[in-house]
Amino acid sequence: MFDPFGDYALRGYLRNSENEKDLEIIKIAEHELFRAQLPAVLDF
Amino acid sequence: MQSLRPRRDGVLLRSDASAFGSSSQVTAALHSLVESGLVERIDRGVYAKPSKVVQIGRDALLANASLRAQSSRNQLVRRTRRFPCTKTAKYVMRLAKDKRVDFHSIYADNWANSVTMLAGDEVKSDATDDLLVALTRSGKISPKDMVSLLIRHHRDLKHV
Repeated sequence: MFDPFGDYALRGYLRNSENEKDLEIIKIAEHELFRAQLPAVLDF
Repeated sequence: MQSLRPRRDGVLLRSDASAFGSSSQVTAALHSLVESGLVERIDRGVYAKPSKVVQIGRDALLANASLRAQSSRNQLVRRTRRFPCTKTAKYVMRLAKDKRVDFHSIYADNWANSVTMLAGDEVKSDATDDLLVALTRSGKISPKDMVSLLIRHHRDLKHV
């Protein structure tokens, strides 16, 4: 697993704001955030 | 009234009209339709156009009605599965209603799904995810709040 900060156990995957460690939930959050922001990015 | 008209199959179910008012109001409206001869009551909660009763027969209409009722029940089950009622899901639903935001799929959804799939992941969004996306796109919540609610929702789902 990608853990460049070496603190996954303490602060979750990539120090995410919710300290989430469940990679399945992280995957969903990444995807939904991507979906939510894609139109604004394309309009930029 | 247009919505209350029997469908092409000639059958009108009481459940088709249940959203139009209280139970007693729906009873009164259906009674009035029967009185005026626009529909005929062929069974409990099942009405049909008199011309269809003559043309197709009561038994065939009741069979259609039974299929329609079954299909409505299946739809409800599917909707409930698609919208699992976690605390967060209820909150998001209320928030979207208050802010008058609804989710409509756009090109970006297909694009994002394809990119995610090409990256080797497959994510199936549920209705709460869709509403959170819509709320964020419309600027009603921040992306950070969206992630927070989304993670809470999926944590809830894992514990249901």
